[in-house]
Amino acid sequence: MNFPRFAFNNVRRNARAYFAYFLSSAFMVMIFFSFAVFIFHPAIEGSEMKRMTKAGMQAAEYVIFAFAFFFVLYSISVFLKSRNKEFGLLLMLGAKPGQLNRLVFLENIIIGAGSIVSGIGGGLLLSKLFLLLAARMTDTEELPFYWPVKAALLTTGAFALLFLSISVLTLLFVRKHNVIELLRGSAKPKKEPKASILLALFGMALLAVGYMSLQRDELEPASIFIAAGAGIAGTYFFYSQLSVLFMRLLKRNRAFVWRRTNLLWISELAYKIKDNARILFLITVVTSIASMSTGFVLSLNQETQRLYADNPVSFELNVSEDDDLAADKKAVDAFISERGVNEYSAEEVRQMYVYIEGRRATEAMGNLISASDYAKVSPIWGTPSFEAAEPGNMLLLAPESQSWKNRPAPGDEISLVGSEALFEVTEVGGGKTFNAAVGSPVLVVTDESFDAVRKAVGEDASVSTHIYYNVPAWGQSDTLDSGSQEALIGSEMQRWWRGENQDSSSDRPISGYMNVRSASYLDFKQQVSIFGFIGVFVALMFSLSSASFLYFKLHSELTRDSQMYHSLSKTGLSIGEMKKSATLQIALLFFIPIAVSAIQTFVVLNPILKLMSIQNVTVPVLMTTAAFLAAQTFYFFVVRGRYLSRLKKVMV
Amino acid sequence: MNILEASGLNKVYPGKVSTQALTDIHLTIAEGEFVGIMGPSGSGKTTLLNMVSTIDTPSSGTVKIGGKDPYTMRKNDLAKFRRRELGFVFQDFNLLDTLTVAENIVLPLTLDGVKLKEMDERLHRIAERLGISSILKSRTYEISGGQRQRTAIARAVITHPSILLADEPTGALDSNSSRIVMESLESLNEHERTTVMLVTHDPQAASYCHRIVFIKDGRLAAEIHRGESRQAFFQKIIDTLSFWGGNAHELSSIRV
Repeated sequence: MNFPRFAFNNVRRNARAYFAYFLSSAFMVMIFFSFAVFIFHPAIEGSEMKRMTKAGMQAAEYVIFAFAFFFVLYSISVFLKSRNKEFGLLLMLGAKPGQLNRLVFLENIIIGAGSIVSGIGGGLLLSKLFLLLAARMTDTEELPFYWPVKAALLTTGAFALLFLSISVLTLLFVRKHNVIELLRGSAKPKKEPKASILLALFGMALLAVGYMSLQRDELEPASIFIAAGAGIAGTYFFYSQLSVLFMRLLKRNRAFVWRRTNLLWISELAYKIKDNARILFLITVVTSIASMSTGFVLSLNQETQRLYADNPVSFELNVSEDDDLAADKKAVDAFISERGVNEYSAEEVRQMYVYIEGRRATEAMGNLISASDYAKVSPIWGTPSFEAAEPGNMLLLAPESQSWKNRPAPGDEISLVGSEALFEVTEVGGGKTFNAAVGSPVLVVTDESFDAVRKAVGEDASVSTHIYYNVPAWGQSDTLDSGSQEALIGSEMQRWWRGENQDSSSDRPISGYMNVRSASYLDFKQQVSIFGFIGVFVALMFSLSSASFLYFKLHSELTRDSQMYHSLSKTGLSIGEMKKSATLQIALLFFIPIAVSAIQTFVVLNPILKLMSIQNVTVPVLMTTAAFLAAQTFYFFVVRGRYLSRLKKVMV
Repeated sequence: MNILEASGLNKVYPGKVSTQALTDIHLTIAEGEFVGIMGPSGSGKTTLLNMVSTIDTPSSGTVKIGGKDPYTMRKNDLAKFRRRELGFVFQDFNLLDTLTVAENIVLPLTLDGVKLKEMDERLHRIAERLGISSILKSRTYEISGGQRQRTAIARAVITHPSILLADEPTGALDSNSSRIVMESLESLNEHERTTVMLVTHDPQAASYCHRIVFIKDGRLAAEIHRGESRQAFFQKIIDTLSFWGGNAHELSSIRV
């Protein structure tokens, strides 16, 4: 038996010990490969419009690779540590350190080659699923399956490099050539995990700082960075110090701890949390980032939907030159009646762009509208009427939570740039319908005042006519079916007014501008869903890898745990009690990071989304967390099943 | 009253070459007795202990502990039975290093859902008896081997088991610690009337017993009783071992 043969047999006959390491490596290969399949897909590679997507995907691929590197490095260090005894034995039998290095190197290469092959095999299956999913999420046709030669080559190359460099790196791990230490392995008793009160307080302070910096009225980039830094560092201390401190305080409550299996799992968990602090920390941060990005995308998605669902205006024509008004109007009317839409209403409103001045209102732009024009649109916008008004009164309509410093309140006085007149804000309105339809402040004054302001501003006055069309047949539903009449006519209209059907874009059929509800919704939705796709995929990937991280960690602790449960079962621990204690420990390891990251996501996303005037944060965050929870629960049951079945074998 | 009644025990380990580990063993231990089991390596001492401790099932024959046959019980009931009726002391202590000494001792009681007050009472009583009151808050890696074994003994007897089964309790201890541990067992036997079954290689440890049963090649070989003097009993053990064993190195006090 020559040396490579020995290494090969070592792997083959001891497959179980290598299995976890092999599995986690193959898993990373699989993820990387299925992502590459998507990037190199002929339909994606050819398309010009999705350059941004491709850049995003490539960035994600780099992240996956970096993650894979650390994951494999971590796996191998744990794996080698568990084999200390074997190395000690080999050294005792007279193996030269160089031979040991060669053995480890060869094994790594064998496992690496195996995991690349099986990872690509699994990846072929996964990528089919992935392409299907991608098509669903980006609302495009399903991408056909192809033989991903390029992706396979890239994966093989990248991971061959990775395993080679890791094999070289592992030689550093096996440096410990003291035979007795190697033989004893991890038999040394574990010291009690200690927490420093000072560090724990510091961690709490960090978390508090992170929280406070997000609760300020105005968010600046600096405070977001402070929050991120303090939050991440605080999370680390949370696991390494606060959790241990908490466990120790908990242990003082003997009435709780000294009850049934509590004593077992609580004391074990204190060790496990501290031992796994770095992993739990990593998982939490990764999960938080993933659920923040997913939550963000979901909120954006919801916001888009709302902009559509709440908008009563089917489309809007905006003409600034009075001379073109009649022609444009006629063109639009002709366009829609040609397509069989005859029943619709159109409200003409003259709007004038003005700058607001005032003691409390710092400069902001708004649309000035006369009372008589406003009467036409206020039922559509769902805003209060402005009837018994006197000159000098003003109704201010402002979008919800607009980032407008010192927004005027009733009773405030406002003046407009270029005019002497002073207005008193008598009422402030808004509402989600108005928000969706207009989205910028509107100032309503009497007809006389409107004319007076216009005269005062004179030549510089920028007055335009907005025509708000409402097609009742298109109704108002929560979502837009891309095959519906509104969607089809809407996107045709969008292309039409932009002159995209003509040869040159200057050759537009109308002189004004249009805002088509359905088309902007679909455009936006497409953009968001691409982000969403990448976000969700990266989140899924991280969630999967964090689960396999935990599985690997548990697997490496299995030997010690089964020894413990074996001796406990001799003294009368029943299988049911073992299950209870082990399940609780695994459950807490799996779900504490999810719970912590849910809290973090909520705390972080809330103010950020508020700033972007997105109101409904709870639902997207809950949805994201629920999805993560579902995935994690699934892994939990798989891992628990495997772990318990192994422990059950040692129970007498 | 007999605590342990084993009759006609046989154990065959099947396999390509099946091994007859025990042949026709009859053994009774009365309440309050302190019985030692001795014999050379591979004689079947540990197999016998495993039968009695319900960890292994006999191929034939019956074992009755306190009048009950544990082999007819279901697995969960069996676990409870072991917890309540049997106390175990192992050569390698089998203490959990994630727990303090006190927590290790009360572990079987917590699993049984005993009230906190009662646990405290029993803990302090037993700790005092075994002289480990001062280390109750320590960790298992902070105390000496003898203290660890006494902790294990405390854990074994805190449930007031019918019988205490000790498998080479002094195997990993130096002579001084061995003496303290054996004196602890003796004192438990004397004052608490704990029934003890001790499996050992060590004649010194065995000399604390009332009665010693010798096993050789899976069969009962001899039985000797202690008189007044422990010193004389020790000599008797040495004589019996050399008569039945034949080889001098089998007298070594550690198990190979």
